[in-house]
Amino acid sequence: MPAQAHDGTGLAGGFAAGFAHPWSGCDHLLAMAAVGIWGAFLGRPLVGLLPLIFPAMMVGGAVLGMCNLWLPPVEIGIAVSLLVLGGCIAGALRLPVPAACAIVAVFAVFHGYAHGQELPSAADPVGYSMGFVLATGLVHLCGIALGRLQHGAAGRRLLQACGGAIALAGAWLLWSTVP
Amino acid sequence: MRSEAYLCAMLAGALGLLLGVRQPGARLAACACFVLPLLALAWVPVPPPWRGAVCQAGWLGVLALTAALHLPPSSIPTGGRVLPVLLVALGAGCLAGAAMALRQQGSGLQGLPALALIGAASLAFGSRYRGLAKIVSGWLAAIALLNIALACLPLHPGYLPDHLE
Repeated sequence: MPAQAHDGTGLAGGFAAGFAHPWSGCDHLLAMAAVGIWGAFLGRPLVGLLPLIFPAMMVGGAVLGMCNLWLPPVEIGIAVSLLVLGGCIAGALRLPVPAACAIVAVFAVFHGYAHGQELPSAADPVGYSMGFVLATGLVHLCGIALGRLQHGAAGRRLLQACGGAIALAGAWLLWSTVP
Repeated sequence: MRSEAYLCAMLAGALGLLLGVRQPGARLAACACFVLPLLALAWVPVPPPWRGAVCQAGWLGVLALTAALHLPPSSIPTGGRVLPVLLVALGAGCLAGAAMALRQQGSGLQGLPALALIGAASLAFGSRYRGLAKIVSGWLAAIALLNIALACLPLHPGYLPDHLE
């Protein structure tokens, strides 16, 4: 089963299509929200760094996708990203700054690769690319806003439960994707 | 093609972020410095072989504006406090005007709504929200990088099935 934001684009293009794309499937949505939530958990400087690194590396992945360069199966990478990022939130894992940045950067490449391969040339690719990068950023900010719940004990437990749910979604996606 | 209007908007947005963080007091003067070359250069015909280069220059301008936001304040030239920012606004306006000339000669007026972006970005992301402004500028830089790459790489035609179909 394909990851949900990538069930085929057909003729899609323009800012609105690009903006809607990350919201259209739970795989991207959960991964990007997870990046924001984890960043909020980790505090400064990662709360500002992770939402910067993800779109930047996503662009790198998109370029790889446009060049049709080889990458391990993208859908598996996306599913593992949910599993790992959700697991990090559920376990309230506090990794060193370089390690957290590296994890987010690697997974962003997979998400970007999927977008890059599908970036439509037929209808306004500039608007499309603007839409999906801005939507990605907004989902990160939503994640960071959610992550602020961590300051209360109940909110922290709720966030960890959300992380667990994201990891479970990743496991389910991985199970569905692996032949 | 609306990509020229998007480019104009991106230049305005990046300039607005820079103004908000670095020089909020120069907002109006910077808007004037942006709009004058925008209106003037939109009348200059761009020879067809230069069209790609003008577009790339515009996206590189967005990259430069966003990068300026990440520089430490001490690295910004301080010959006159406002002058460097006004020069940057002038440059951004030139690029925006050239981009609008690509759309249609004399279409500078269609770029005027971008002024609202300068105002909105500079008001919303003042120096109190410097961190948020840096995050948003990172997104603008990502968009610019992607569009620079888009001009050089083949794309997946939108009417064809994607890699999962």
